[in-house]
Amino acid sequence: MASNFGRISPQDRKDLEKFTNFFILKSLQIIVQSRLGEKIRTKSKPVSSGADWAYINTYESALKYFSTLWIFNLAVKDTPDVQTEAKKILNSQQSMLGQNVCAEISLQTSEGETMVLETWFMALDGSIVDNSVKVSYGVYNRMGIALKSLFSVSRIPPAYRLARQQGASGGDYVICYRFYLGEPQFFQLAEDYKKCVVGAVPTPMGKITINLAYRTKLLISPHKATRQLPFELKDDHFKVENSPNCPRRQTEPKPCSLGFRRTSVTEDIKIDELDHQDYCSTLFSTSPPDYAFITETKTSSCKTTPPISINHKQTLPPVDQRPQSAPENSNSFTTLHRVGAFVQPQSMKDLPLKGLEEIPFLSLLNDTGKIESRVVSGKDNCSTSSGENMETANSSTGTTTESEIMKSTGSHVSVNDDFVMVELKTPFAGVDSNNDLGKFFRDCQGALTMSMFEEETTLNDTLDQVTTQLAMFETNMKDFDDFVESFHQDMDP
Amino acid sequence: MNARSQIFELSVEGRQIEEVVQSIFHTLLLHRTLGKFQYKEEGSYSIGTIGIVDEDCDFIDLTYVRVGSEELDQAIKRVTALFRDSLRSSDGVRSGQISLEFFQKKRARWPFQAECIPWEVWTVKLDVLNLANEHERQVCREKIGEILSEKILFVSEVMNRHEYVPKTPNQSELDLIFDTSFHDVQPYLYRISHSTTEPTSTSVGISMRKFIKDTLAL
Repeated sequence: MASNFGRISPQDRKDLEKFTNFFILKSLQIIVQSRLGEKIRTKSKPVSSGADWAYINTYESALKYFSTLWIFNLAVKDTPDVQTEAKKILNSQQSMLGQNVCAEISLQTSEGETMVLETWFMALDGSIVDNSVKVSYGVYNRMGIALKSLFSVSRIPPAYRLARQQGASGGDYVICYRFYLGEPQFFQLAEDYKKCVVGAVPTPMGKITINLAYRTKLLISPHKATRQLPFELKDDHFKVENSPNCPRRQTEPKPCSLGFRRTSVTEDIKIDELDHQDYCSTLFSTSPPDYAFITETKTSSCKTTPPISINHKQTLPPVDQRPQSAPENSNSFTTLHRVGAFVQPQSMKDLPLKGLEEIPFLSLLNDTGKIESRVVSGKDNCSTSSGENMETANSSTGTTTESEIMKSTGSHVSVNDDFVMVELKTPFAGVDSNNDLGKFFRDCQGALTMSMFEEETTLNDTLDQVTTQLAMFETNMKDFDDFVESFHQDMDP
Repeated sequence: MNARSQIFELSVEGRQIEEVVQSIFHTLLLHRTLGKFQYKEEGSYSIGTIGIVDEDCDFIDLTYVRVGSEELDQAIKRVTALFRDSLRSSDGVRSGQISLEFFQKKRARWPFQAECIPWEVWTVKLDVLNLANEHERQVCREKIGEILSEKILFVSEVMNRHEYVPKTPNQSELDLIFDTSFHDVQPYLYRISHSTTEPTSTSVGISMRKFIKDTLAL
């Protein structure tokens, strides 16, 4: 019987706090593991490796064993990631359940829609004190019973069925969890949510309860659902702690599932041997922050495992599934080059790859070079004309006497400068070496000046020309009439 | 000492009988089962670990949790199968009840047998329905799932009141409190009994008609 009569000895208090911490840790494990989407199957063992009751009779030895998997004589194996999160929460508590410990289970669709399904919370009611129970045995047993209730009840809410169906056909969502301290956020469960008490542990320091509030309306409303933004839009967005490179806040929801193995069974799972690729593969492309968060955990294998390419899972949003808009290297040109049916076979070596590698759009220069070479030398030699062109461009533009050439090469000089600026990776451009867009751009830049603009003419001259032309047409009017008349004659048989 | 008693009443399809009973009884036994005690010396013993198994029902929209012990599961299955058979054996019998009773033994002087004192009794009363079509069966499947969910919540609520359970005894008296016949787990002593009854007529008119008929028969 209790000898403290309303007071608890420091030793009991210390032990109770330790029990409570383990109780919370195990509760959070059970909650999250129930949302893995898998059936749990662990065997009973007549002899457990730790937490022997004989040792529990001596506190020092008992507490030494409490870090084992078998506390409360229930086979609850710790998922390292959940354990890390849960310990973070516990460490930030000032006193034993000074604040409610909440576990939020939410659903996240591949489109980024989020819906909070349920909130589990553990609370301490200091006004209900049970001094009749011994910490060493009574509280320990009661906690065991509360955890068994938690096992039973966790299979009841709609979230359990949703978790079991995740990854199934049509189930394009993932179940996430989030731990936080403080008042449970019921408003996220929409109206008509249900509340129930899952377990209760009266102790000399108050009554510890496990509670559940769960959503009953399971339709995602486009207006009410919160679409997760890739980053937070805040005034202090550019603060260092908000940088994506910094560790994210611990309240970020994380996926429960270790992999979409709906029909599989977790039988004595060895957490350390879990395939973290599988773990990571549960992440949709809409949740890169989650992956980033996972990599921050201390799990070594997860760190060493390179991020799973989302392409492999074909979960990319449509924007990433578009055809390659621009070739990344010269191989793209060569592999995609097609030769017409009756075209003289041309070796790939003959293609102007060198030009492609060195100066973008050099082939366009070649084309224009042909024009110039026709003007200048009348020869049709790509390399030489190109060379001449470059030489001409580099030489002083004022040395030639022919104004046409001077002007055209002058324009090429500016275009050549532009070539350095223009990148090859133009969106939606074709992948052939001609580069239609570049050619078009180049042609616009390098359009020849019309001859009519080269001679300065006054308005009077122009009017005179028009008058002269009209007089000429009037003179030839007879010819035009005859021409039209000839059609009529042809029409009449 | 009066035993605590709880009664659940449900109307179920014939094929659901076993799963209904098993889901309730296994939930109860999960709470009323401890790990196996392993005595090392007097006053010193270790407690085994209880495994957990998720069971999906075939004919009810429900998953329940049971103790991970095949022996215990088989024991429950045997009894519930007998109950099912007795309910479905004849057309006339369409209702019955099955009870899970936790008790402790009290040694009696030779030659008398040990006295069994129940301390908690859970009774499931079932009426068997005949459903006409698949739609009704589907509705019943979902409805029974919801009702059983409420029952499981209720069981949890009762268990967390932490009312009387027998104290853990010395090694010599262990089998007065616990069922030590299982090799891997150690439930409190329990027994399951079942009975079947005639269809109960709830209507006053039917009762009166029957009463008059019986009177005339005399």
